[in-house]
Amino acid sequence: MYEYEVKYYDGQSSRSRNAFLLLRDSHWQLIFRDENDEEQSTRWEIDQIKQNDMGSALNTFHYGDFPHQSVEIEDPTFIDDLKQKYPGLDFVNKNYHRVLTGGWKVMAGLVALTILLFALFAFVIAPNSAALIAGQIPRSFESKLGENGYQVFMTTAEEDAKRSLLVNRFAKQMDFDTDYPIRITVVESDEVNAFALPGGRIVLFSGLLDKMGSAEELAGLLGHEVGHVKHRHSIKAQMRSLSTYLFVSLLLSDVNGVTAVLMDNAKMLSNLSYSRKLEHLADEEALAVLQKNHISQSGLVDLFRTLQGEAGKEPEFLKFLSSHPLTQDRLDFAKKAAAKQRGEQENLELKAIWERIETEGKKESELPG
Amino acid sequence: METIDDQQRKLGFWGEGSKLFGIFIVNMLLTLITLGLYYPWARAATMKYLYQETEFEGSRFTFHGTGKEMFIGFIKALGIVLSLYLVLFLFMWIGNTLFTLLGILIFFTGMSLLTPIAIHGALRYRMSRTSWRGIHFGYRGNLSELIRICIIGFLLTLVTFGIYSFWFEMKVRRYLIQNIRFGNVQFSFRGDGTDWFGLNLAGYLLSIITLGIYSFWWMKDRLKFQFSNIRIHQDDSTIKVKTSFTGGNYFGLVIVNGILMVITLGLATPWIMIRNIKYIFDNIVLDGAFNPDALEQTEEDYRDATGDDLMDALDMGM
Ligand SMILES: [Zn+2]
Repeated sequence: MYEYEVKYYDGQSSRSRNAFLLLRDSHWQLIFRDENDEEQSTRWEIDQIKQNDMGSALNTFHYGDFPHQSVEIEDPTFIDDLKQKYPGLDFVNKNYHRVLTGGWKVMAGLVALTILLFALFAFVIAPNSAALIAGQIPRSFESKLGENGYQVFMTTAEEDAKRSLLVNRFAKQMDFDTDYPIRITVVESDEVNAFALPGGRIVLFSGLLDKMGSAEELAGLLGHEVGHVKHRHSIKAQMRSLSTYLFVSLLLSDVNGVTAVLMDNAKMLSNLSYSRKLEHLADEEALAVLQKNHISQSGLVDLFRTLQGEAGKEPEFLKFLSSHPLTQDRLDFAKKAAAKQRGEQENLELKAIWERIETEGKKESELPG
Repeated sequence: METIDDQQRKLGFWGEGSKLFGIFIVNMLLTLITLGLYYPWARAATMKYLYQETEFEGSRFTFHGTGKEMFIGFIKALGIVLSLYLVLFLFMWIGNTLFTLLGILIFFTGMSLLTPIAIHGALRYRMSRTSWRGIHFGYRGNLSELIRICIIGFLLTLVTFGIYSFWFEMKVRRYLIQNIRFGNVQFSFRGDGTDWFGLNLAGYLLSIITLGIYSFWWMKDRLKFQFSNIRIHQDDSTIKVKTSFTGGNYFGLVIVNGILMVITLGLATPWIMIRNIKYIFDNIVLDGAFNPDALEQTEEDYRDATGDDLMDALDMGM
C-alpha cells in the first residue's frame, strides 16, 4: 500500500529516473538506481513538499529549495490516496481541486453565487459608493471640473454672443432656487441639443433654440438643465461609470473574457436605467421651477413635443436621445402635471426677452453664408 | 541515451475547457469577495493550470510563480504606474502650459521606458518560474541593451512614419529569444524585418483586394513566420520548428471560435482559449536531434514579478 512507480528528477539535470515512491508517516521515501546502477534512497520531509496546483492526469511534485527535486506520478488514485494517508494536509490547492472534482452541482452552485455577487457589486455596491463619493466632492473642485470641460468644448465651438446674452438675461428673471451660478452659452450648431456641466454652466445649441416656440418652452428647458446642475447629475453619472470602470479593470481586470462580457452587459443596462432616472429627476425639478416662477408647465410639454418632432426627422436627435433619453413616459408625466397646475401668470418680462431672442435668431438665419 | 537525426517531437496539451471554466469561476468568486486582492493569485492559478497541462516528451511543465510573488509585483507595478499618473496630474493641476507640457513629457518618457523594463522583468520572471523535469528556463538579456534597442527603434519608427516598426519588432524579438536559456539549450530567431514587412504589406493589400477573405491566410502567414523562424540549439545540433498552419485550418478555428463566443455570450471563453492553444501545438513540430535527458540546471532563481505585473497593467500579452 502507498507504493508508486514514479519518475524522479534530481534538480541538477533533466535525466529521468524510474523510482519507487513510498508514503511514510513523516516523509516520502524515493528509491531509485543511480548512473552506476547502485540503489539510492532519498527522503522528502512532508513540510517541504511544494503544494501541487490542482491535480491532473499526470501530477508533478517539487521538493525543497531551488533547484528542486521533483517526481512525476501518473497514478489516477494518487491525489485521493494522499488525502487518506495524510488527513488535514493539503498537497493540492483545495479550493480549485474541490471545484474541479466536484461535478456539475458544485459548479452550478458556484456559478449562481458568482452571478449573485456580481450583480450585488455591479448594481448595488459600485453605484452607491460612487454616489457617496460624488456627494463628498467639494464645490470648488466641481466648478473647476465644469470649467475645464467648458474650455475644452468651446475650443471647437462658436458662440452666438448676442443670444447668449439674451438667454442669460432671461434666466436672471427666473428663480431657480439654487446658489450655483447659472451661466448659459448659446452655441452655433444644427444639433438639437443642450447639456449641463458641473458647477452651473449650460450649453444650448442654436439648433434647439431655433426650434422652440415660446418663452415657457425655454423656461422648461432651463429648469431641466438647472435640475441636472443642482443635483450634480453629471458628476454622479461620471462617478458611476468611473466606478464600474474601476470595478471592471481594477478588481476583475482581465481575469478572463467572461467577466468582461458579463460586465459590459450589466454596465449598459445599469447606465441606461440610471440616465432615465436622472432625466426624470431633472424633469421634476423643471416642473417645480416653472411652478415657483408661476410659468405654465405646458412649456415643458411643448419642449418634449419639439424634441419628439425632431426624433422623427433628424438623425441628430439620436444624440439628444443618448444624453437625455426621451420617452413617452416623460411627455405623459409633464402633461399630467401641467393639467393640474394652478396659479400660472403671463410673465411679460420673459415674453419680451423671448421675442428678442426669436428676432435675433431670424436675423441670424437670414445672414448670407 | 542515443540521439538519431530526423527526430520529430510535438508539444501536447491536455487542458479541458470545463476545468479552465471551473478555475475561472473560483478566481472570479475569490476576486469579488476579496475586492480584487485575490487577482494575483487568480493569475497564478490560471498559469499553473495551463502549464501543468502542457506536455513534452512525457513530462509536464510547471509554473512556479506564486500569488504572493505576483501580489508584491502587482503592488510595485501599481505604485510605478500610479506615480507616473500622479506626476502628470500634479503638473497639469498647476495649470500653466509649460508645466503641463513638462508633465506630459515626463509621463510619456516614463511610460515608454516602462515598456522595455516591463518586458525585461516579465521575461526574467516568467522564464525563471517555468520548469520542465526540474530544469528551469532563464532569460539572460541585459536591460540597458533592451532599452537602447527600444529607444533607437522608437525614434526610427517615428521618423519613418511607422514603417520601421516591422524591423523594430523583429529586432526586439531576436534579442529576447536569443537570450532565453533552458539549461544548456539555447534559442534563436532568424526572422528579419524585410521579410516581416513584405509579408504584412502583401497580406494587407491582398486582404483589401479580396474584401477581407485573404486575411485568414495573412494571419496564417504571420503565425508561421513567428514560429518557423525559431531555432533551438542543444550542443551541436539545431532543432527547427516546422509548422502546418494553413489558411483553411486558421479560418476554421476563427469561425468556430466566433460562433461559440456569440451563442454563449462569451461564456465559452475558456474553451476558446483551450482551442487556441491546441491549434498552435497541433501545428508545430520540433524537427531535429534532441536529448531530453541531457539538460543541466544552469539558470538562477528569480522571484521578482514586478515586470510581469507591469506587462499585465500595460495590457501587453506574452
Ligand atoms: Zn436632461
